[in-house]
Amino acid sequence: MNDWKMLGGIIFTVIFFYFCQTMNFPVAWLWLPVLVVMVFYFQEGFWKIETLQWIHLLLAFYAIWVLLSFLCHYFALSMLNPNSYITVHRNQIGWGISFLFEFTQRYLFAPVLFLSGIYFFSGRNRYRHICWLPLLFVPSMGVAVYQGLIDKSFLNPNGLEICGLSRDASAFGISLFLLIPLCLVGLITFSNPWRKAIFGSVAGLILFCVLLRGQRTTLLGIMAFGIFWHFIRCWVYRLPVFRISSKLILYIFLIIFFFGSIFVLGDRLDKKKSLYLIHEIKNNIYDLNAYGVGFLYRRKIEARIIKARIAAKLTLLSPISGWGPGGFIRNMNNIRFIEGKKPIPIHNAANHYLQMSSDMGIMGALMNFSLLLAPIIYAFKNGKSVQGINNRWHLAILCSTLMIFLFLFLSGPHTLSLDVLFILSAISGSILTDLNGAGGSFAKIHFWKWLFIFSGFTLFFLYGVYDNSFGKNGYIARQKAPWWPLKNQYGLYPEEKLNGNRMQWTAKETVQRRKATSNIIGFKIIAFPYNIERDKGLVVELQVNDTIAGDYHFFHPGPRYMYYYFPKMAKTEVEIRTAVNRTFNPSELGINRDNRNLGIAMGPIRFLRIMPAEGVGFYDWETGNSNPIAEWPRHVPLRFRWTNIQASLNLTDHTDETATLYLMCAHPDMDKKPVVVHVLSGNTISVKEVFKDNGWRRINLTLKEIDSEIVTIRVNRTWNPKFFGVSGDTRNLGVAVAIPEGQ
Amino acid sequence: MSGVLLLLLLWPCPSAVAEWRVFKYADIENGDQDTLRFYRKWNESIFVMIILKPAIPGVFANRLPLYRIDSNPLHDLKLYGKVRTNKDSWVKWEIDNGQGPAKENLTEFIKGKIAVFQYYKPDGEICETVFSLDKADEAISELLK
Repeated sequence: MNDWKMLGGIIFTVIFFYFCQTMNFPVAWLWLPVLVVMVFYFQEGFWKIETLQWIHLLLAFYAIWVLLSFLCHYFALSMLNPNSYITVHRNQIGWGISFLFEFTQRYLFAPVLFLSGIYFFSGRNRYRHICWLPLLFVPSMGVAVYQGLIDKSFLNPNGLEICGLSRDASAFGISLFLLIPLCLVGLITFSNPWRKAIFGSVAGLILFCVLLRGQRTTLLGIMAFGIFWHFIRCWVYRLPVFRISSKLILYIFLIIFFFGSIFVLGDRLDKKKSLYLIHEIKNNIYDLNAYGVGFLYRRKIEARIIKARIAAKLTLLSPISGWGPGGFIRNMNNIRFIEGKKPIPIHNAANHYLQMSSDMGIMGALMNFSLLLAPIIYAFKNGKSVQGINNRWHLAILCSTLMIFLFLFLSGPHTLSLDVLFILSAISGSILTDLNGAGGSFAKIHFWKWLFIFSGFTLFFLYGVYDNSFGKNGYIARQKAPWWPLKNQYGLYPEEKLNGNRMQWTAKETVQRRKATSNIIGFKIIAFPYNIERDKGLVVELQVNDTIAGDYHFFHPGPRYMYYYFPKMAKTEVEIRTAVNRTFNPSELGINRDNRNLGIAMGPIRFLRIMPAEGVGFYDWETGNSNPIAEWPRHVPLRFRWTNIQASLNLTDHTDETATLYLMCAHPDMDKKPVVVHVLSGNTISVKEVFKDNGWRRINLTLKEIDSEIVTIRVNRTWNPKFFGVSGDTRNLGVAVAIPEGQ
Repeated sequence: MSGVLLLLLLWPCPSAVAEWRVFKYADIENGDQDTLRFYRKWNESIFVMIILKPAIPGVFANRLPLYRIDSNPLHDLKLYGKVRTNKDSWVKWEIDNGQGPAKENLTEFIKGKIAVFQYYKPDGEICETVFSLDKADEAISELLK
């Protein structure tokens, strides 16, 4: 059975790395082998309640909390309009859900891999096989050497820093730190010279990759391990810690010699400057000398402090259960906005503990910390009972590595990368099985009692999750908060500058609400050629308070201005909707890397205080070739203007008591589908005309009877001559309006 | 204590008062950095000038602005006789010939609270620039001394 476990573990490991990490294999597929591992484990151990330990309960409830948090946030997000924003800057519901999924999978992998680690190494002395783990990374390190010395872009998604076969350069660097102690375990505990040679070579390869990668966190970890080494050796051989021996002096000398030679000979050894670590350190020293501590702080530390502040603030705002998996990323710029500061690029919290507390709350962070701490506590409690030098080396080295890693977590949530999480889980599993094999017992639990207590904690956690997803601090409540700038709109991307003008790109449909400062509303719309169809154009519809104000066919790119009059709109909140029949994706068209689906660009909405002298909503003046209106003054050319859906004009200048308008429609299908024209004064319909033919109609308005100075002419539909193939005129036409001069 | 609070409440708020500058002319700049200026020519006639910043090429070339003060009747500059413009950034017109008591158009500015000017960009955009006339009476009186 143990051999099958071993084989299963190796297959799982290979699938995990070389499909998930290097080929961008969808992480979701990996649930299948993970499930198999879990079924094996539970079948063998979990149902035997008397064998359960603290670690099992922690793992199970941590997974349950992650799942509960995921479900609540997922359903809360799904209830919102898919086009609405969940951050103040650019990101909509789909973006938030994608991060929720991604972080949930990563957080759930922690307990699953931890269990897999325990399962994989369970069996007599199987924990010692962990020292072979670095060999699994040799191909990745080989690629890293090629990347560092020859071609950095080889199998490299970012192309800037070497990453081996991993997709994340930082994760690759951190993995290197975790692999060195494992090689040391192999180097020390195996007596076979060939095996020693293998582990020595791999250790050398790892160190070379550390130099090539140039990650300071890795160097910090190795240096910390160097300091720990003395204590490890003392513990293994049961020596007094503070006795100065010749071996200790030699060891300190070797460390100083190693790092000193890197600094002194670095440039000479590395003409091609591929040993990035040396240059990174030298640059930092140069910056410190040239520009002072302040410069180095701003360049290297300030960004971390900013993120830490955001995470701390998020934690304090939702202390029980945080903001859900990926909550830090979803809300980091909301916090910046509340504080009146500029947005920063999307990033993790740059600190594992703060990342966990902002995503999973203080309860979730404590649970996660307990998982990390459990093997160390286990080792401190039962380490003395471990017999045999090799077992003691194994335990001391791995436990020290884990402790150093708890310190390195201050520089980032490194276990978000699956390769790091995998090695760390393997180390934890190996420690626990080493101690189990040595006869240690890690607090067998009273199952039902602790199940009851943990269920109580879970209810409390669930309350926090509900509050932050559906409740009074949830997504809907947040979008109604006074500080939320986008609560009245969806489908509009953040404001940006196009040719120096402030514009907003729209999605296919948009809604926004504005407080009207007058009765005349103005739009600036820019159409781009990419979603204009040659024969059908681009159709844009504008709606104000459920009234279609205008519909337009854009056959040519460029700006267009539209103004509409709505009586009694001033000082009210108006709802403005836009819709386009087609969007375009610049990234898909190869224009740039912008992956949004874009409709039109809209300028800021304006409200005019003065009705323009020529009215609003009319196209330019036209002059008729002949004069088809019998009553029209002779020798005066017929001048008229077409409207779109609606147009308004001021009639106060008319001196007579009555005003005369002439109206004409030319829709080619109006004999089958009549066109209805309303003439409104204020909100009151003064005249209703139904057009079934294209003759001019005379409309008399008695000015004394109308209750507004401004008259609005509305049609129920427009038509487009180019679209109908009547002419090349690309305008959407409603009704032609002619007013004899002198009125 | 209540006296101190009352004093604080009644303390004039400087930001609410329009900042008129009076030298050879009286002018005020609004938030859009446009300027409304009054000045007196050698023959005593009084001119009003609107200066747009930045200049918009051709903005006054074909259509002259409209303006309205509070809810008074609309004024269309194309109906005015003495209108001058450089077509791109400023337009000025005679508002009072300086003879006799102040004419109605000038009085509107003196007594008004808000002046709205509407102008038309060559690409079809309609824009408005708004000036507060708070303390305009003092500034114009100073100019007319």
